[in-house]
Amino acid sequence: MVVKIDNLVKRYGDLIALDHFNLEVAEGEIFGLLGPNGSGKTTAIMCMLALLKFSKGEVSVFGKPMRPDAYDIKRDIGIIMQNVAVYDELTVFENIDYFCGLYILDKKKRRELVEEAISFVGLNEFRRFYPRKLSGGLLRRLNIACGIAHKPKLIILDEPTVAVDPQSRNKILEGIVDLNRQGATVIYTSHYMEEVEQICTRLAIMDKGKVIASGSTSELKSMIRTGEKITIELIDEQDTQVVKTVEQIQALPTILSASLNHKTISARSEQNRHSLSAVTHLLNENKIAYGRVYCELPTLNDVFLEMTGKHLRDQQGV
Amino acid sequence: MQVFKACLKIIKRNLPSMMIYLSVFLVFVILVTLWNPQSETEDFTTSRPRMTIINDDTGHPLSEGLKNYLYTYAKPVELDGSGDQILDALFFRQIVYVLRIPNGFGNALANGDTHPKLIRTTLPDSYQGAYSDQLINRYLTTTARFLNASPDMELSTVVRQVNQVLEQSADVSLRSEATGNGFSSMIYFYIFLAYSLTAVMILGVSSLMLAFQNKDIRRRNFSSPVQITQYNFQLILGNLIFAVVTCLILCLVSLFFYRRFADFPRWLLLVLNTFVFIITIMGLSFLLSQFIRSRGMQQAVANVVSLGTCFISGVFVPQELLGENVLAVASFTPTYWYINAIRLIQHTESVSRSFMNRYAVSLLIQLSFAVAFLVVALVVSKQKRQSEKQ
Repeated sequence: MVVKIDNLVKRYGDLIALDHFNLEVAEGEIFGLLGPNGSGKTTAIMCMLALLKFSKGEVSVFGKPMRPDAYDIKRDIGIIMQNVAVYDELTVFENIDYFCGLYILDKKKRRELVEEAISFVGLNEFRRFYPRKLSGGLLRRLNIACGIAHKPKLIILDEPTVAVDPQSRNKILEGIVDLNRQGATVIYTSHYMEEVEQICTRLAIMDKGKVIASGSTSELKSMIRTGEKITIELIDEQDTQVVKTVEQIQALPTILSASLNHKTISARSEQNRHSLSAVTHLLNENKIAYGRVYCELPTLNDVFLEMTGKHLRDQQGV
Repeated sequence: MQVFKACLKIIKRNLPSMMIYLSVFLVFVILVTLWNPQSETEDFTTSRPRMTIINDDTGHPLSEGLKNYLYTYAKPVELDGSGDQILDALFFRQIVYVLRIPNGFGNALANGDTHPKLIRTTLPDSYQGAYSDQLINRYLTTTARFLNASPDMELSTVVRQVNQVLEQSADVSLRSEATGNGFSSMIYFYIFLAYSLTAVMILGVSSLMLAFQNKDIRRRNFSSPVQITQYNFQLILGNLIFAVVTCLILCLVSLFFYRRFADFPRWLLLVLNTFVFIITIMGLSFLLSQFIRSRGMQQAVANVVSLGTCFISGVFVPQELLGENVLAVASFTPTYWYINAIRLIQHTESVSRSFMNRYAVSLLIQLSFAVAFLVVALVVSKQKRQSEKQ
């Protein structure tokens, strides 16, 4: 195991930030740590890096216990923080060179690595720019370059795509997959489930400082009862016939729930069962006019919703 | 030495704002040097006040003697004696002094009145008027002494003897070249340096600490394999090099400006005092940096602290002119002791044991401030670090 965390407890006064938190990350994985804001993702990362003291538990990285003075372990870790952590007074090149230089003392080798990192994040044209002159997306890329330039074996990315435009976000995600292909183990925290689904080989979902589920995306989705989600957009205004039809859909043996909202009928089908044909048959039989019909497989948000009763992402921020 | 190199780059990036303070300082000291504000006298030239004497006691040897004596040292200006003309001449500064010798003056003096009545009109607060009064008093006092000592002497002989005595003069030469204009200007340079050094050090050190104390940058640095002792050592070294180089450059600038007048041993004492002061201010800046959160706050603190300490410590206003209470408060700032040491150097002719004792006390007090600032700053810093880790 590259990272092993056993029964980690971290308290801030009366608040329990990590409540017997357990985690195992194997070599070569892109491991996603998914959870809503305040679920304890960043605290877990800080404890993992020995940047925070914890009340109880054990953390080992590369098979050795992690302590503040474990410099041999730190040498192989790259950290990309949630907030951009670069010096405003240094240029793009100087920033990457500075952080790489904390790990790599050989000047010639460092130069090569810095050039490689600049190319990797696509900042060649901006190497002489000061951070204040960079856009949000470019700044995030610089932040990543500073964390990966020394080619660490373990890369920890703490919500690196917050407030990044979709183009830069895709570039960052592609870069993370590339780093993984080059041999790095990646721990990726986010509250964007699409990102985690897109790049992570395995993931853990956190809530209130605990891991509530872990496994591959398909394993997690198979843990819940919800199968496909059916959405039907009606053409006419709702009337008693429509209400009656929704009740009939609800009564179907493969349907978990059905609801009517304005001119839209939503239905959740059971796992591994197909209900679309039965639903459309009922609509046709009752002469309900409908326009579009969608049928979606469950998402991680559905997993989280079913396990905790709340949405994974802050609905306001979506 | 990545941290150390980053320190130098960050200071380099902040040089423009620091250069503003240094440029203002250099322009100021150059102007001060050109205008020569110092009060020490290098040479002396007698002044000849423009004077009108109206003698109503003509013919008396003592009255005539006074008139002749005064015209030896004053520029005579003849007026007809009417009131309006005299007042106009005074108003337009054609004359500065009018003396009317009343009738009977000579007799009164000859009869033992040491200060017989004279009517004097002069410009208010005029130094030439005071000088003229001094000349008259000298004449009257000397004449009275002669008359008292030799009551039977002929009045014309008395006048001749008095003139002989008053004509005598003595040569005065300044003992030390070091009291000259150049060294005084150098002293002014080092006094005003306190302001620029304080502002520049607070700006420089706080720029470094602002960059390195950023919470996310600290986390990134502490996640790296650089040992915390090495990290702190490099950070302190960066601050120290900045302080020493600033001190050296400014001391060499002083030598460049005043090289013709430099009294080398005393210049070295000034340099040592400046070095101790800059270390102390570095400690103060380090302490202030623990509380500085933004660039705006940094500028405000640099201005308030540098101007405030310099005003009360005698940088802009001489300590002699400051009130006792102000000086009592100022003695709790290192700037006061820095200025104190400079004044000691300024007023000493030779490096004596008693001078060295007093000079050393000033330096030791400054160093005590440095230690106190550093200890408090380290305690605050450690507490912040620990609370961050909790």
